[in-house]
Amino acid sequence: MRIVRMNSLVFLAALFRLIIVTPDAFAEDYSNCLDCHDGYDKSLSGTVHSLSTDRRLKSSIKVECISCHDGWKEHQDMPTIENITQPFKLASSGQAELCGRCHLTPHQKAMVSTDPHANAGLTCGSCHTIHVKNNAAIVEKNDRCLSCHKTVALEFSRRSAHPLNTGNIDCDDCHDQGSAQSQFQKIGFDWTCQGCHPDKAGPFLYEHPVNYAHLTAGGSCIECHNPHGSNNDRLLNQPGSGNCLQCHSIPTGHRTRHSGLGSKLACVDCHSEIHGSSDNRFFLDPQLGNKLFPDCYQSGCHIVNQ
Amino acid sequence: MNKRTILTVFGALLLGGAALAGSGSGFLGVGYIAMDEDGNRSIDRATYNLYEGVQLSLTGFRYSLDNGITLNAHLKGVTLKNRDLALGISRAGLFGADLYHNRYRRNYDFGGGINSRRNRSGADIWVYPARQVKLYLKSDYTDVTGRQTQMFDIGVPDTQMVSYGNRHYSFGARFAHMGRMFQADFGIGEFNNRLDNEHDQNRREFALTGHYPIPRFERLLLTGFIKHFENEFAGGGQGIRSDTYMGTALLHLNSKIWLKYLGLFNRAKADSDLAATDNLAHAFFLSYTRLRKGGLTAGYQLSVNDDFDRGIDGSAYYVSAWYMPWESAEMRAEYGLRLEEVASGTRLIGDRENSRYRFNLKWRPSAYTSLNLRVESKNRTNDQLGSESDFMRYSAGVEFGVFRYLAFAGGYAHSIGEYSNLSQKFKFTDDQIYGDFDLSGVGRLIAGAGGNWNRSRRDLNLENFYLRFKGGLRFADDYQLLAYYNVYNFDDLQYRDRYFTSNVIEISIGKTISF
Repeated sequence: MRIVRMNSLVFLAALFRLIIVTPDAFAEDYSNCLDCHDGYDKSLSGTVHSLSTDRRLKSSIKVECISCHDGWKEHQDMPTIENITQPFKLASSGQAELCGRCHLTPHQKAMVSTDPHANAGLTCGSCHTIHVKNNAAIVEKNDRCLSCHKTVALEFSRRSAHPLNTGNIDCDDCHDQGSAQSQFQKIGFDWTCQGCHPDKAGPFLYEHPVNYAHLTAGGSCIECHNPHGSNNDRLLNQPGSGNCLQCHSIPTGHRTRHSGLGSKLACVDCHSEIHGSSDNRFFLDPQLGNKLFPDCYQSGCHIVNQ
Repeated sequence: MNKRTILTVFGALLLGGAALAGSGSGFLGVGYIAMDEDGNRSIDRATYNLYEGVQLSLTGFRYSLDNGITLNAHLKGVTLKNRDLALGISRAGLFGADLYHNRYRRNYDFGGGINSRRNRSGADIWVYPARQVKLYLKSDYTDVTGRQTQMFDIGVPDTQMVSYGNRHYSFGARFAHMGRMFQADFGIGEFNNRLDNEHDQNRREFALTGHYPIPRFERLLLTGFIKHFENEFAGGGQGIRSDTYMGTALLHLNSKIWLKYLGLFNRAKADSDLAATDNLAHAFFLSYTRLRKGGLTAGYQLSVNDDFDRGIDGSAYYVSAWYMPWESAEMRAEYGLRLEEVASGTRLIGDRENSRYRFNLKWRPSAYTSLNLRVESKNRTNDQLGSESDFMRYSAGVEFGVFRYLAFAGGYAHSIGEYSNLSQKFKFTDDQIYGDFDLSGVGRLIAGAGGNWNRSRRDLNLENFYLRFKGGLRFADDYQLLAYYNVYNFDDLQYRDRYFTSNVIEISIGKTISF
């Protein structure tokens, strides 16, 4: 029995060593590199890749040239451009593997598995520049996206737009590059819009199906709104009743009764609780009786919600 | 965060930076913003959040102590109501903390007196108890107060109060080692409508994520994801719940070809609907890449949406390609088609077809020069409903520079949009021009100008432009004198009260500080 216990302990110790302890791979000094590549340390200063100056640090958390540039032994003996790894020239999987030695996050996992950027052949180096002085984040907020998505940048200069240009929001607030679901770009099951606009989120007693369709079939808010920017008020795709008429036709009664009064107004003039209502299933303004047509309701001809 | 606290932090950073042993830098600026506005304050969102007054800022601040601890700060507009603040402390691989706070105003009426204010604050804290383990805590609080108008209100705008707070807290743990990663997240949220407590809500979410290259066969990478989400009225118990399960398998057949499978199942329930909806999807992708030469990816997705009352079958096709005929030129093309068919029951919007394509040509003859041409299209058709939307955009962009002295970036985009249904059509044609040039690399001189011009025609008749100019001088090594002049203009040529012009001048003096 004791032998079995001993074996178990040895096995657990070996497993612990295998899982936890990292091989001491980066034991050499980077000053050798700087003898030839003078100034490259300055291009890293002020960033998270600033070369480690404390020689007493554990090698596992040291940042040195050879942390990223493999093949240094051969390169040191015979320096050529072919025998040293230049990370930005690696394919996406190679770059992910290299960066993943220190930074393994859901973002990297998504980028090599589900994210559409990976399908388009983009690599870590497409957005992250390592040798840039004093850029703590390695990438500039939003710039990394808008440098490619230039037409999206233009949408933010329209009449109504989310406040990206003023720095109040970032691309990342809606488009999560770090999620396992990032191929859905947060507009899926994560309630992207409702995170900032919970007053529109519900649950409501009377739901407008398009408003919670994101939870069940995609779509949702962007059926009516263009989140980047629109020439219409409130990010709407169309002015007036146009959005409503994409799915609904004007009821006959609205066109015939009371000289067609109902068809002369914009739908949301009366159906103002369009994101969902806790009062009536037609999403009518709870104050409609007082506000617009007191006679209609107070005369007894109409009852709100019927 | 009140002004006194912010100024205390501001001073502590500067004095502390000088007193402590370490090195750092940043830009300290003080200036005055003057505004002259005319017209409808609710019409052009670019100026909603601008304020007149003295502005104090510390930006790009980064200070490294000898023990490896780094402090950073971005404190912009400290003295104004649109302040944008971020503070951080970190030690790479050991711990870190970030704090942020920003404010936004949204105008709703001609005079700007009816407005809502949105303040957002949050904190992220993380620690590595071991190199492989990260523990983190995040919090975010959004507070909205003020008055809003309802959409398209008739005649005199009817205003209503708005006052709510939305909190979200989450914490999690990540274990990452040798290419394998496991992560657990738990989050709670709370929406509190201070004007109507009946609609307060609580949210909870729990997620597990895993990422696992198969040992001894690391060409196969498995990813799994499970998430439970629920949102309910604080008072009633009525709510929405969803459970999501997702898995991917990525197989690198060799260095050039990979094959990917993605499977997803989601069940969502809304109590008010008394029904549950299932989503099931299987997606397959095959990709070929020749490094720095080209690539081709093709994909197919089969999906089912079933709410026990009706079933929607979906098929999606995807193909993309990129090619670099030579090092400085790159072509990209992408096409996607999604077909949804009502297999059982009925739904209001009937069958649906979505398609999009994009073609992009980029030429970069030198490090400072590039040309970019793009065509993109999006289309949606609901045949049974008789509604359709069509969008096309053609755009061109150019960038060039003379070493580090002069840089120019500019472009033009032409967009055509059309929405049609049985009752009416809505069409628009947009033209947008943008350009920026910068002379900041010439001696002590700082100069630049830029602008955006937008014109929307057909069913809309709008024109707006934004011009910006800057000029300045560097002196006494670290100092800068800067002046900005910005012009915002908006005209809706269909409605006489929808016009707006604003002239904004900002003069500031700043110093690049270094310790």
